[in-house]
Amino acid sequence: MKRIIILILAIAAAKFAFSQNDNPKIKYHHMLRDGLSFAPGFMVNGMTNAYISGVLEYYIADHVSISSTAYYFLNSRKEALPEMAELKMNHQLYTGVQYHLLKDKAFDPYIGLEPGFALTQTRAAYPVNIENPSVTQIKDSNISMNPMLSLDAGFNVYAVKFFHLFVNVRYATGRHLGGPTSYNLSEITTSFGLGLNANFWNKKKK
Amino acid sequence: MQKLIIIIAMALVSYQAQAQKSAADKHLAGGGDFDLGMRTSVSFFNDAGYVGQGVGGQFRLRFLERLNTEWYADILATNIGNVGTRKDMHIGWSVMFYMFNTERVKGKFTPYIIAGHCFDGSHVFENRDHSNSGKINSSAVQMGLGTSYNITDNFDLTLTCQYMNHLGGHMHSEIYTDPEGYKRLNIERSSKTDFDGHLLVNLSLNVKLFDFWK
Repeated sequence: MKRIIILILAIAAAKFAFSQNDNPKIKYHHMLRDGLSFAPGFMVNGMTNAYISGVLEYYIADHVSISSTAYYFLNSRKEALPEMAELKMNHQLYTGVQYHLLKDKAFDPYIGLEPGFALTQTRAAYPVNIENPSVTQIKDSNISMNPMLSLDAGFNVYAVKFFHLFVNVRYATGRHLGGPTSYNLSEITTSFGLGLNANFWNKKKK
Repeated sequence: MQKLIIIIAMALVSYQAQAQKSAADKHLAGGGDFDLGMRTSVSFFNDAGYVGQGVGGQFRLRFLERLNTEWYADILATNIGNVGTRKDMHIGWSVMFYMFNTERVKGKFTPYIIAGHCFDGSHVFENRDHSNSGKINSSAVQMGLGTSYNITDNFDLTLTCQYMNHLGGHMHSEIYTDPEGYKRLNIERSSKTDFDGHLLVNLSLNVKLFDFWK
């Protein structure tokens, strides 16, 4: 229910911002955009995580931008699934490309593909002695760098000259392979907030 | 002797200058593109038949209209039945030969044959007992087919399918059940050269940044 309310609020905010200025003379090509926000993550195994996410994006053409997105892991709701290994670290970094469906519009929907990696660590039950695996102790796994693949979609609303509203939903898939068993990192993360944008290069040309 | 060396050197310089002029006239027939890209990889028929997932990056330098080169590095991780892990790192290069269309025009496909070489390092370990592990460095050759789809004139989505054949020693791992009924990993290292390999499928996104010939 909370998620639905958040989604409705995000859409309403976007709609409001969009209606404020229908044509802010935005030029995508050569624009630099960034954003920082809190990002909740919903893993397919039922775990909920909290991140701070940051994005940096540069539009290399009217419809195409290269982007880099980072997620700094804050915490996860371990108590929801006590039988599962605790996720102690899940920082992620992605770099890829976004395809923007419209050109130079205030409303900027996009889809993207960003491969990347996750730096992960779990706290799980290890056998005290490998010859007798039934006796276990809880300890931290090695920190592991795991390849990830992510697909994302979202939209930006450029309503004011240097600010924009952004909404992003990402599905990332990969596995933590540093613990006693592999840990499925597949997750849907959402982020929305206010970002900064500027188009220095186009201004110089004028 | 000294005169002979001078004459040969002059002849070479002259030949080089002539070749450069000729190349400049023809703009090296469409070459010069420098691309930067990211790739995501899937490895099939890997250790004990498990599928690996990887990530990496590459740059491309196109020498001729039909001849491109790709220089890449990637890391692949394979979950061996929840019992062990295999990590492979590749650093290498490939030559791409465009068979049909060579134009980088929005909406067009540019299919190619690809072949190359890489150095690779592999690390296999048992998840519950990291002391049960093995490492090996070797070399490999790869060959396959691919195609780029030009989303814009300067940006493409590329799918490549290659078979990678390792030339040096190998590591094999096998899951077995110990007398207590727990699953363990047996890691065997072989220094014998045989034709062991795996199928690599890469999906990459590439952005043209410069044209060096211009």
